[in-house]
Amino acid sequence: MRDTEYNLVVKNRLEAFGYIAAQAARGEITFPTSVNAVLRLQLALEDPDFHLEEAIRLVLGEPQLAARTVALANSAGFNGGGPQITNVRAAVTRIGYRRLQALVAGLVVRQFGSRIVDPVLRAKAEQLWEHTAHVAALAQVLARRVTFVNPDTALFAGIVHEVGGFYLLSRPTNFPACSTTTRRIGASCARTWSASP
Amino acid sequence: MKKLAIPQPVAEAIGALRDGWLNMPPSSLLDTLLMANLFAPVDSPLGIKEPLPSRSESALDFVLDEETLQDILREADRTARSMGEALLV
Repeated sequence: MRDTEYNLVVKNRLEAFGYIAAQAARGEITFPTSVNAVLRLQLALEDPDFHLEEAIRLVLGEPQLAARTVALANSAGFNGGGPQITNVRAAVTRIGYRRLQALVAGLVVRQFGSRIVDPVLRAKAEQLWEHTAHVAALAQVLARRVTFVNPDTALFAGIVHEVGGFYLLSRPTNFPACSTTTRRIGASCARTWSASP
Repeated sequence: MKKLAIPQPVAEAIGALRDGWLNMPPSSLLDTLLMANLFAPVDSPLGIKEPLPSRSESALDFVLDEETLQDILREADRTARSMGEALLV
């Protein structure tokens, strides 16, 4: 790490994540992320008394989430031609709690996918993610323009609607029937999953 | 769902997706998810998606004209791509 980059990291932890996000976006870093930390944030975001400072603290506790929060805030959907965001505080403020919640859920969904080694199942997980992203985006727009339910809730629901599928793809040895494509078996797998602890 | 702390109304809508019917006019979270699944350009590889009855599709024409639908699809496509970029780190 060059001196200037090191100083940046030491000087301001929040600003540093902008730098890390840029590196991560180039595929130069992969972070270990614990599902539990993400789930803790998910629970905390449900609390109506939850404060911004606490959200920022929890996001910073999870480097991969921090990087992705900043990346999302800078993505076309949220940037809106504004200045580039380089820290978690500004990112959380820009995207809002609801979208942060969707991001957290998306991260959990993706984590199940990242554990898959089998190339056939991996390809399925990739397709499932593409499907998920499209359904989530469509749900958000349809909510705003057609059904008039809360668009952020619709986005969140879209992201988690196939979470069972990701979980099952990541554990084919536990649920061998789940790699088949019949609807009946898929549905029974989903029930198995929702009943598991 | 419980472990993911998914709020009840969201969990219920997702649970009802498999056998869900689209209401006319579509107005609930379940309707929103059913329509999003119907219009999604990429299908779920697990085949869990329940096809909508064809009469719903024709009834949808009264709710959504072709121009509005194309507009919605374009906007959603942009959002889906930017989400992919942000999440596929």
